[in-house]
Amino acid sequence: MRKMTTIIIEGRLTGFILLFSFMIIVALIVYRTRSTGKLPWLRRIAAIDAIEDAVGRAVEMGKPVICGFGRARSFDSATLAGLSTLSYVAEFTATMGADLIVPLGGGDMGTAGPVTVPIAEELVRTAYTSKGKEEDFKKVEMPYLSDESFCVSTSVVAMLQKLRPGAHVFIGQYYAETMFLAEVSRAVGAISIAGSSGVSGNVACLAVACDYIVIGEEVPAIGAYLSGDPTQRGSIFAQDIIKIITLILIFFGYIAFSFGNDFFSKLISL
Amino acid sequence: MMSFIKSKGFSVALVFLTSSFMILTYFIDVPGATQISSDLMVWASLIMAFSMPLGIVNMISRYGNKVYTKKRNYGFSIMLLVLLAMTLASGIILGDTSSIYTFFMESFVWPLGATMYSILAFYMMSANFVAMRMRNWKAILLVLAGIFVLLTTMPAGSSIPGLTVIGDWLKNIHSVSVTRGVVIGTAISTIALGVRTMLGFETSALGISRGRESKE
Repeated sequence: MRKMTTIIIEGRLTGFILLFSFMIIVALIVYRTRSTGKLPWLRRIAAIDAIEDAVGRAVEMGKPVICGFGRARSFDSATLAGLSTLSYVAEFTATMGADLIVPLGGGDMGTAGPVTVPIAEELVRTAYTSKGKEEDFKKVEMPYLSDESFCVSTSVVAMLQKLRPGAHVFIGQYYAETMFLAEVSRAVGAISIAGSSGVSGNVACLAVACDYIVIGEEVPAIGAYLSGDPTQRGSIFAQDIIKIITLILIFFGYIAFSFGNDFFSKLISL
Repeated sequence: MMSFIKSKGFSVALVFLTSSFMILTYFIDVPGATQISSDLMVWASLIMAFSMPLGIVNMISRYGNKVYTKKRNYGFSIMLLVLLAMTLASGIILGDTSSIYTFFMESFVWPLGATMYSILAFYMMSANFVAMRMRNWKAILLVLAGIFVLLTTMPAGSSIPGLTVIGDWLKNIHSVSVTRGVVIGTAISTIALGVRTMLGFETSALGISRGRESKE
């Protein structure tokens, strides 16, 4: 029988232990929250709370709402967050009677690509059905614009300039096109609510040009935040515990390394 | 049988099994497992290729309807449909290395993409104008940091004594530390998202919204 260290690929043992410890912590807290049913306190995410007001404003102005979820090259955290937000926005547009436009495409031959078309349609349809507005779903425009991301962003910019929407919600995989979308949204007077994955998603550009943004760890947490379900919210609480553990490890690693001890660097490379 | 395949339980079980397998093969050295995981990745690409007609059907339906009902500017829709048909036909019949197909790509798609990319500079400038208005002390700090970094990256900036040191200090210490903080926070949050997805709590990727979930 092989030893544990030979089964695990060299250099990945610590990562394996840490990842599975973190996953166990999340699962345990999720099930604990489920059994107690207590809703953990979460700080408000202004961008998500502003969605209702933004849709309401669009209705008052008689203008549509544009809601995209990015390039969707893959089903990463940003795409999932975008899809969760789309479902949430669709519930408001269904209730308030706003016109909803969902631009699709831009996958650049990624693994998700057009697969997200039926997923987005199903999410919006369910949102309208759950609000008893099945008939209004037919009015929702969900055009597939292109697989090329720049073609999609150009089309969305054209939509923004032509329709002058009351609100533009775009949370998902956005890269270079963030500046077009954010700046044109501002120019046409739409409330812009945006979010993108990590730092590579031009978060700084979004912060500069948008009215509200979702940043960093908030993006993957959107689904749980919107659910209002204690079980899912428990996972966000678990995140904070893991963050504290990580900070402690970083602190001790920093101290040890500063005094010439390479214990932590050896530990990481195990 | 179909209702079982379409059920949330089946989808979640499938997600749990495949994601657990993919995670484990990253860490564990089991002969043959790596091949299976790379095969699964190929499957994902194949599914994407098969889903492409979904997009094409969506486009034909939308723009065809515009032409049929003679909506305003429907001439553009005709142009789009004709170009779509021509590109599709040249790619399928003659192949993606044929001169006609490459003509479409090199003469239309790539130059237009490059044009859009270059226009970014103007949008960035207008966004900078908004960001750099010195409304409060934070904005003043932002402007100063921006000026230092901008001058450092300019050839003339390196001739000013001490400027490169400040610019590099801002980039290598402050910018990198903040970036790492965001990356670590996002990574931890993504682990929690992964656990929620594997356990079937996060179902947006399966096309199941909160409304349907509560009914089930």
